[in-house]
Amino acid sequence: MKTAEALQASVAERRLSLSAGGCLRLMLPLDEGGRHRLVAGDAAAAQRVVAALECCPGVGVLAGSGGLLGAMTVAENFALALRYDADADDVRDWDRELEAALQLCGLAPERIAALGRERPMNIERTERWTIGFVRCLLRPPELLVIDRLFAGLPRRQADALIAVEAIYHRRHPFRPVLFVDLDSHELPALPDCRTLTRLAEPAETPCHC
Amino acid sequence: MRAAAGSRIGAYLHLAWFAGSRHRQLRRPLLRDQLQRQIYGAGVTALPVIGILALLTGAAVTTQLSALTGADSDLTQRMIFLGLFFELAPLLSALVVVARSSAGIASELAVMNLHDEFVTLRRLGVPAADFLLLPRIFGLIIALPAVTICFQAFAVGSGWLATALFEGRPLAETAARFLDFADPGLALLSLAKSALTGAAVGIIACHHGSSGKGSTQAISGAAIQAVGTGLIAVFMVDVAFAVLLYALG
Repeated sequence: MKTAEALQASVAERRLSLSAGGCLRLMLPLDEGGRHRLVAGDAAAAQRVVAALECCPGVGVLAGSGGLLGAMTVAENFALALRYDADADDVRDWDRELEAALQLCGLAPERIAALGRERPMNIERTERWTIGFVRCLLRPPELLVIDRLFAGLPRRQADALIAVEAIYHRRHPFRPVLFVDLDSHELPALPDCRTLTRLAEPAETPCHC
Repeated sequence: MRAAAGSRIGAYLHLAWFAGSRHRQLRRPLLRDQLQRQIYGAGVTALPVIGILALLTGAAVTTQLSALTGADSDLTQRMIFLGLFFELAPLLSALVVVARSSAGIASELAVMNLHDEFVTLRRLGVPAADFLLLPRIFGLIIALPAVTICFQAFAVGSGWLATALFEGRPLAETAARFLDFADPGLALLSLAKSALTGAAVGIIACHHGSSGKGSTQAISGAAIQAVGTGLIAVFMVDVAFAVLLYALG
């Protein structure tokens, strides 16, 4: 994995580019929306990709576990994510928006009512991811990187989460999502996936370096 | 060895500078909540232990001093003020806080580090250092002087009671004689000493908790380092203030 060791990501002219070993491997327009997929050969390579992308401004990462703090309740996690940087004159009713977004993602009202007091560790993985996803839905980054969502997930649950993720594209049609996945036979297909990049393979664009 | 100690002191100073330069962040409501939690954890929940320890220390010290200096001695009251009120109360309060909170802070941060929660916080859009370190450091800076005040009140109260019981002197008279020797400047200096000790203990605990390697061994290692180095810091601050007091005459 010599190429994966020298990963570099940068944003210029509303385009994110990812280079490996000096060769351009991925270029994403940041204002066209849609799904993109990058497949890494192993977990370490995927981690490096995510770390490189994360350094770029406007890139948000959603981990497969939902990216919630285990020591806090779900309500505290939301408060932290939604209100930490909020201005004093921010008049958005986060509670109402949050409830609507959770409902939109398929959670029942009685479940939403109970969820706030629970700790992420006690919540089932797909539900935990959905909660993390709702945070991104309410505060969308310019590029949402979904980190290894399907690793160890049964096909039925993976398909259900892909359906949930479709909400993001309906709500934010001009914000792209990049799935960083591991090379696996069980990898579910992404509907309407615009680009597929395999990190271990040579770049589609000829590299003259 | 010297290089390692130097780099560690450098890291403490760097964290102290960071805390000093970022203290305004504590105005954020979410950080203020965290600060209140830390004050509650390090201060309010320590009060039962502090109360019992102060009552016993006050009674023991006063009884010993009365036995040594004899009844009706101004020296007893002077030593209660300087020895118990100014010296022992901040020192014992700091030792209790180091034993309770220092290990707690370091291991809590080390567990968060192990579970990549610093990264999670960053991904939530929250600066991890602001959210995790500032409330813990400033929580101890506020909690330790408050705990010290309680210790001083309980210890001196039990000392007066012991004097009144053993020497048969009215409580009000004992209190009045003590207050004659009490120097408000020294009382404030004892609180400043506590605040500085709280800062040192908090910085050391936060440094060891957040700079571990992210393994299970690092959790116990961080707690041990935080308590050990915290104890040294407590005594160093104590000696520094004793020297300062001596120099001031």
